[in-house]
Amino acid sequence: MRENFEDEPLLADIARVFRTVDPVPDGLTEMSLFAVTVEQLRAEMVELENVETPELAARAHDAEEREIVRTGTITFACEPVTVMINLSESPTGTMCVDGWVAPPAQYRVELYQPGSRLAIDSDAEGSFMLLDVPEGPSCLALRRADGEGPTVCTPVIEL
Amino acid sequence: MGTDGGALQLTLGDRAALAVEAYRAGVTDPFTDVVVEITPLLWHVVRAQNVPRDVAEDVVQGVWLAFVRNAGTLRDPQGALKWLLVTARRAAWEAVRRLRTDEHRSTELPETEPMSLEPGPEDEVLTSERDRALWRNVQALPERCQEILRVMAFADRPSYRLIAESTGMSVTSVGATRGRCLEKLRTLLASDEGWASHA
Repeated sequence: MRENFEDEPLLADIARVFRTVDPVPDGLTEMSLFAVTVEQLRAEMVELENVETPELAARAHDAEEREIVRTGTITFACEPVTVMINLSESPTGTMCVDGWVAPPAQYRVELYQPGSRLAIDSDAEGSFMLLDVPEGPSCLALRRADGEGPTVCTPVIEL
Repeated sequence: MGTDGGALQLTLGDRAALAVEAYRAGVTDPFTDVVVEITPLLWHVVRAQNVPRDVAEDVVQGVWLAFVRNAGTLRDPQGALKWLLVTARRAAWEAVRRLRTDEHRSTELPETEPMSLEPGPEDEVLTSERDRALWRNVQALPERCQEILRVMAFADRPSYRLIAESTGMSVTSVGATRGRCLEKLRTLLASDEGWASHA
């Protein structure tokens, strides 16, 4: 006894079963978009080099080499721009990222993370502060508000 | 037919091609949409090669990274979807090959365990007897059929020939091979109580 099914309903059943048994991991799309965004930033911008990290911090593009950064100061540089960021925990337990850019000027500061982007303007001295930053892989991009000089981005760091 | 009827008829391959063109012109939104739409398909292409889940996540991200690096020089944007699928499948093979080499190095003992016939956690997440029967019988198919049906199940219909080709089938054998695999599956299902009684 064999019924003559149409292909479509059976393929739809197969898709549903695979979706249940082996679902696409949460966040895979966001992580893929993040990888694409960072690649775009790196193609467009001057990438800063990490010149100084505290013991607990490290940078890497490869996931297995990344280390968790909890607190401390990280310095990135690429002539003529230097960026220092300081990570700290706010009283409410969330992460706080404050930093300075040299040479001093007003900068547009953007923090890219999987699924989100925070943007803020620094003051005229190049100092800025981002509050309530979620943990996770992050990339900071800085453009001078007056359009002068290079636009720069940091390597991916795991906050 | 509304005025957007034309847009609705674009295939996944067309949308990927347009996204590449837009990307080259500095417009990234269509590219984002395509990443959202195609990532699940890439996931199933990679997992169909038996790549462990955590490794498959890295493979899929690596495919997108390679794609964005190549987007500027891709000769034929119409080939973008095929490029993605073929690259994903190759990267999956490469990942499996590397894992096997690592395993070889890290252990002297042969660890080829026989396939478990015990019900796995799959039987717990599948709530209906009908789905459990379908899963059982899909797994009983030859591996090649499992791969083809899995990838085809996630293909959008208009791009189905292209997607089938990317699993290594020739243009001429796409329809026949898919038909044969579905036929085998139907034969198995027909003699499975769990499927027949819930059909």
